[in-house]
Amino acid sequence: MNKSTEHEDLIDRYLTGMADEVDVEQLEALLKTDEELRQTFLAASRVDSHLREQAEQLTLVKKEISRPLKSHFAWINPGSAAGLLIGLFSASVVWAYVVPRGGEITRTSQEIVSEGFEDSDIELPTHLPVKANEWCGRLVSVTPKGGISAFEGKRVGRLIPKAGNRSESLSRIVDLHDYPDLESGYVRSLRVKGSFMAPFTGQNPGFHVRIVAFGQAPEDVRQAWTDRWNSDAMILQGVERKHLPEKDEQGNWHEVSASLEIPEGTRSIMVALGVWHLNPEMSVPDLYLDAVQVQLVDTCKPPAKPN
Amino acid sequence: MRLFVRHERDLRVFARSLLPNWPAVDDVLQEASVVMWKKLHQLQQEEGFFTWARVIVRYEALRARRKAARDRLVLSEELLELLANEAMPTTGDELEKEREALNCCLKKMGDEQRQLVFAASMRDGGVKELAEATNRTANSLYKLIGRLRASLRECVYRELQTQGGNHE
Repeated sequence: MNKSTEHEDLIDRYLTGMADEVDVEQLEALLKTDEELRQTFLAASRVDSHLREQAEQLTLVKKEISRPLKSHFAWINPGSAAGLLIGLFSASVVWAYVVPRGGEITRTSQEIVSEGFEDSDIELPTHLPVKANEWCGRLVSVTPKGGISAFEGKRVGRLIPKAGNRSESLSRIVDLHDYPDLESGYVRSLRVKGSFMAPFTGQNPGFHVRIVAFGQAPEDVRQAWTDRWNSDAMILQGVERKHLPEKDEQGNWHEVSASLEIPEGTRSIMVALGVWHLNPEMSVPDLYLDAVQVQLVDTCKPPAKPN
Repeated sequence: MRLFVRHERDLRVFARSLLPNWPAVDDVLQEASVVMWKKLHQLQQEEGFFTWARVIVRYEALRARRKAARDRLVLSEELLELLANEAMPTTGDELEKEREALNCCLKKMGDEQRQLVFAASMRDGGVKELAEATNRTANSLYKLIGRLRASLRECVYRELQTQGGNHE
């Protein structure tokens, strides 16, 4: 083997993870003194990158072919089918089911948001939402690192708190005008569920899901939320579910959900999913968020039988 | 993020020249993308994004190197600085020409050879799995793959020369 081939072989062993300590030491010494070999090394690493791209594309194609179809299903009671809103707006996946329980309670559930942050190009406004059906927050779509798998799909949302913040949320407004009026005898709830993980910095933050009902239109919710301490009348009702993982559970996904029975007079509902810290003096770390679902649930409660 | 996604492939190429393996490249790119997102207000013009982003990737790669100070299988910080400086002149257009040249060369290979080359570029352990499946030793497969990769690089070099490219 001539010197040039030997050096290329050394570079290849390094790039394919086959080099041992002696190889790396030898490569280091050669690269430090040989400018031409450095160019060879850079060219080899570029070709390695292009090959990796090709290999990843092939893997993606294979996964795409072998992936089972997503189960968007519908069990539709013919009697209630007229009330369904199939395709009312494009961001929603709508499905419904009816669960008769011994003829006593009928429940219809409609999934209005199903978000896995798979769009790598996602760009969100960082302020509080000022219109319906749009996520807002300091969040980017990433492939989780450090051997962590997404809860669903390949990517997750990474919520990046502003420096010094003691809590941070991703939020969205649901406008009830987008949905049909509630039928007589039903009560309507909003259910929010998300999966959380905070593998960064070794801190032990908590996760929250918040649902707040407002009488205002979506464009006025931001002001109403900002003024919430001045006037109770701004908020009709709210619920917050907080979850604090055990220390040995920090590297796990945590599913947190909350549900709010929507009070009469509600026009807009703000949902927020985020991170907070038990110690109010500490700023919060970054957070992974995945598999967020928002559902409207209508429940029919028959009148109580007279005694 | 739009700008990052547009340039992500080229930034990965740059990061690869500074980092010992693909998990490290993935980690550094993710950290770099977060830094870019936080510091986006510092970017004066979109046209300068790639140069700006490379500076951040370089910084994050060196930071990762410092974290792995005790790892004997990584190159020194001093050498990485040298490589980062010399890798800088490669532009997005030149990388695109290289990709095209590589595609041409891959098409000239047989299916089995291509599969071997990709096996080494996929997840860790790809070659070992292939070795088991074909009743060969991993070492002999690596040697074969090494020869194939060398001939691919040679082919890419020739293709670029034919296309009038000026790669070294």
